[in-house]
Amino acid sequence: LDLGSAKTQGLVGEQPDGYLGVVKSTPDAVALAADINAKRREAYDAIAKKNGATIDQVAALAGQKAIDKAAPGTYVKANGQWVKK
Amino acid sequence: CTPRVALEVPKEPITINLNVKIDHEIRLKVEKDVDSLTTDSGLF
Amino acid sequence: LPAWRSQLQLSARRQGSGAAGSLAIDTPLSAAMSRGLDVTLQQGQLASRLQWRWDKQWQLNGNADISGLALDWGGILASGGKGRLSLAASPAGVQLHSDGPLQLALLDVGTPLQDIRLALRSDLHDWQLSDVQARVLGGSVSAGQLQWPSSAFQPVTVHAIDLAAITALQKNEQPATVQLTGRVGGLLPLQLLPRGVAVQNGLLRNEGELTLRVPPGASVRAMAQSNQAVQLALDMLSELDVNDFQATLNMAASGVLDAQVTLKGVNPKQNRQPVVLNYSHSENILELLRSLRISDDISRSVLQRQSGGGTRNPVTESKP
Repeated sequence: LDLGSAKTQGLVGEQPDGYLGVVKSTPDAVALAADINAKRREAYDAIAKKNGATIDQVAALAGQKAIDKAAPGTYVKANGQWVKK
Repeated sequence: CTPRVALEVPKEPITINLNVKIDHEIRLKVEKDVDSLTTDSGLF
Repeated sequence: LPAWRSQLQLSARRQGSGAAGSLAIDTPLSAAMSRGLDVTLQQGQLASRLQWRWDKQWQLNGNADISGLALDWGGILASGGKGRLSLAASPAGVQLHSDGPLQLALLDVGTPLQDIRLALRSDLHDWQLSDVQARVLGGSVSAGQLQWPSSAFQPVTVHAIDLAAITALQKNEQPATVQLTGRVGGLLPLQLLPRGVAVQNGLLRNEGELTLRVPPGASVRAMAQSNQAVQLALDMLSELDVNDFQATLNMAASGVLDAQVTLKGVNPKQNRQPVVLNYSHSENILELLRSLRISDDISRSVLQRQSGGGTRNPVTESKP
């Protein structure tokens, strides 16, 4: 299961906190989200250290960008609810 | 009773200097890095 | 033009050696007609009644009523616009003036300006604004006369601005290190340039008593552990009842604001120890407002899809 198809199938979606959220918790989706989020945390940490920002600030900014760039029809979390863009 | 005069030493004001510089520049650099992360890292 | 759904009635009759007549325009304002403009019209209605005359040269005069105007100007949202304009045009030029106050319910530059009212007179190059008023940051701004563009510094009066609303603007950054409550007001000399605004020797003073808190969790406290003097200062600043607050403000057209604040008060928890705080703040305000608009864009674009379009309703925002 790759990220692109997981999103188009509505299994996972982007969240304001910058981490991938599970919409339908199938085993594959849960495993994929855990793997992706670990890699994202590493990337956020690197950016935070490089620019003297906090990891939460970087993650929140990434979340904003991810939601904005999310393809139409995929899920994004707004005010705690999953919403189709 | 004996009148008691308490001489209250006039308190000297404590002066504090605080300089804050908010640099949105950091945010712009972070924004650039995050932009490239969200487009070509394959994690989004 | 079907996409515009506009109606135009033109009448003409011979008059002397030329001709004359009337022109009536009724049209909704929509994005379709904003191509080529750097403004995207979203909603609104325009009704214009004009008389024209042609005798060796043309002449046009009349008025236009605008209502329910909403537009997006590069991320700055305006809505609730209405007013009446009188127009006189000829090859010699155009004279435009408002007929009664022009009103705008909301202008969101990153923080909302509300209930904007003004009168205007213009030849489309120089704009004279008068009786300008708006509500912002819990208080109000007003100016008797403003000329744009002009290099002169023109006074704008500021009244009852809520300091808590100002500190709330930092919501994107870390939690506000310094929490101020109370109202300030004063005078901001504004330079209205063709492409920007500058402030020189603006002065704000407290209107009534203010309070200052440096909350224990603040990041500046983390810095305090390392330095005794800072720890003492923060204890002094932990709680301050302020009776004298003066801020001088200078902002370049680039948006870089330099504020020098002198604040005198007593700490009720340290048996009313008098404290003087000299606080200087440097920040690019245009960047701040832009970053607030960007984060608004994100939540708006998602909310819009949720509620099926239409401009963001400011009431639902947790704005100051």
